[in-house]
Amino acid sequence: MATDRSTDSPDPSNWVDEHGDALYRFAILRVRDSELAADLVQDTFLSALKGIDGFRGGSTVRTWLTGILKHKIIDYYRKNKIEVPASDLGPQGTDLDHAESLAPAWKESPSTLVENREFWGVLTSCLDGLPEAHRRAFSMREFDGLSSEEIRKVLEVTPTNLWVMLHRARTKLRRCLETNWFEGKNAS
Amino acid sequence: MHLSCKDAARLLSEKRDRRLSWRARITLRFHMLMCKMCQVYGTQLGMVSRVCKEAGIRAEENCPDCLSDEHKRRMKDAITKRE
Repeated sequence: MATDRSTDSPDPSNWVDEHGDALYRFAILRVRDSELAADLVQDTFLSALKGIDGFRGGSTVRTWLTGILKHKIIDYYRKNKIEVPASDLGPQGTDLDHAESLAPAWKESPSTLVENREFWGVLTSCLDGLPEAHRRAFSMREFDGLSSEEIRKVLEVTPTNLWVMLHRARTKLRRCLETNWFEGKNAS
Repeated sequence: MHLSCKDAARLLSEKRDRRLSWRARITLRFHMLMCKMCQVYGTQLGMVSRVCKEAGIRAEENCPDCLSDEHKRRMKDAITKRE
């Protein structure tokens, strides 16, 4: 640790207290498993330690660590492939039931919603209801904004299968949020 | 030119991930002009995306979960060993 660094230099002895919870939250939203999320955060710290001389003061330590964690998650998906059951890819009669019921409008703004702890509870339990493969695809697409092409390479699926997975995930999540959040809110 | 609501829903999702064919775009637009439910559905899919994007960006500050003390202790040990 003799390398000369700027004043914004990362001090590994404070990492867990300063960044541990934040990184864990980033990971748990995406992987939905507390042991796995904690392992990924620990791997992130250890990789960062190894590459600490590559840290440039241009970004904050948090941004730098989050960038490493993002790669760790994608690497995990790559190395731990899961089979997508055919039943999760074929045509499905219940893909859309909106003819019966759609709450008129979802009025709360995204920024208000994510400041609400109760909403996090609903969002995460809706995510837990998705098949693992669909959730991985959805998470990379919607949380991280990766392109279809990038996601396809990570998951090794055909374009058509990816679009089906994303459609299924959105359908299910939309319905779950509507039932467990927006309808309840409109009724109250 | 006829499109069912089920197919419209599929296209509304797919157009968020890829450029639809010329024919699909026209058929979808035509269906959307006449179908109030699909209009609402399309808006809600947009909302799902916006909420999730926001959640993805702000999870670090806003997600209520925390590392357990046990996890923190293990991480500190692992870091100290490697330093």
